[in-house]
Amino acid sequence: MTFEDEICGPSDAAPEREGPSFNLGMWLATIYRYYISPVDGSRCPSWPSCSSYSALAFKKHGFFMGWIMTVDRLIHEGKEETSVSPLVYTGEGWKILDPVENNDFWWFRSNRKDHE
Amino acid sequence: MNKGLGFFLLFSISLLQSSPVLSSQIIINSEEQFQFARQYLEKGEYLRAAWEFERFIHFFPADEEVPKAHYLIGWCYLKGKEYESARKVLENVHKTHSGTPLAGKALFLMGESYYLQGVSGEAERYFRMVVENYPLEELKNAAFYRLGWSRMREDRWQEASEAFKMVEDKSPLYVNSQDLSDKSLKGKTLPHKDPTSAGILAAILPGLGHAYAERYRDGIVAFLLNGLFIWAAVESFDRDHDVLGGILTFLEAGWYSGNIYSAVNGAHKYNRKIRNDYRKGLPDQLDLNLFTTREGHLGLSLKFDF
Repeated sequence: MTFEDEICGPSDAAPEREGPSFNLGMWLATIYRYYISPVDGSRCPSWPSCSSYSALAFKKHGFFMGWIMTVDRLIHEGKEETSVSPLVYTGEGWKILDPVENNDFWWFRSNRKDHE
Repeated sequence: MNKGLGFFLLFSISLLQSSPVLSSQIIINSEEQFQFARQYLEKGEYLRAAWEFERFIHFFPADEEVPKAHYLIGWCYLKGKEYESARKVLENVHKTHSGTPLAGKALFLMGESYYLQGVSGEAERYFRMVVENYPLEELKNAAFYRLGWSRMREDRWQEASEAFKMVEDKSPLYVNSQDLSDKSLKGKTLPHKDPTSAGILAAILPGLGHAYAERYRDGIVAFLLNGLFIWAAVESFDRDHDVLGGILTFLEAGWYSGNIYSAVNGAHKYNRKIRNDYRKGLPDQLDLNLFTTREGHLGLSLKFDF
């Protein structure tokens, strides 16, 4: 098992919370991602980018936890994250590998149960 | 004359039809097909090897090596990281040949598939089944060894140490297991940040939980963001801008909750990093390639990484 596997969890496990078809948080994150970020410029040192991460967090955990996890990401996206998460090479250079699974592994176990 | 020519033509055609130039036939026996598949396995082309073992089973369904071929297909899928497929095949082998050493090996590999996927709890269940149901020494020792590793991955250091101690002294894994038994106990003394304390500190003063988890810059960011929004909200209410104050309070609630979550998350990540680094420094000497030895026994031996 690689370090990436350890922090991302099994790659084929991406359970998504069943919920209403409209997700406000996800919609806001997507608006930012497609309409504001291209104008504002990409400065996020992590992968996935903060807006993508936010959309994924809202999709996976709903509005409340998605919001809290987005705030967490905005606080911890600095250099200190490199001491606990690996780097990954993307089209935009080296980034900190920090998917949603890297920040919910201690309380969200469904990824793993899928394989049991 | 015409009759003679007709006979000549008929004779020529029959000669051509039986000529090896036009039609050649190769006869492959079961052993050759089995060895052909093994060749791919040994070259590390696991999925091709699996297909060739499938071909072997298709053409020689009554051969005595068919159970082994099924088992090796499972092994190949496992090495090819096709874990679900591996489990499906190995489960079939286990059910069909229940009680035999081959079934024991299949059960072990099912556990190994979960272990490789990082699903330590499920892996442990299978390794325990091997220990309880299959008395074959080598297999039992391998299962105890992996049981130790699975428990170590879940930070159950004491239980891991006990499992490593169960490996018998006849096993090639014995020396390594004894070493791991001692080292796994040291896991209990590794530096640890209590996530609850981090959360409480962050709740008392935003940023303090981060400082506790040794994330000082993040702590400053959390402190400034919360301070700024609290100050702005208070100022807004003081100047009777209640709607603005309400919006800022709502946003501050997010920063404040996120700050607590972030501190707890930071502590968990710190603990994970320390423990993963420690485990990576420990040698794992179980070589899965030895589960395919030609001689038929398990053939456990040591693996050294230089």
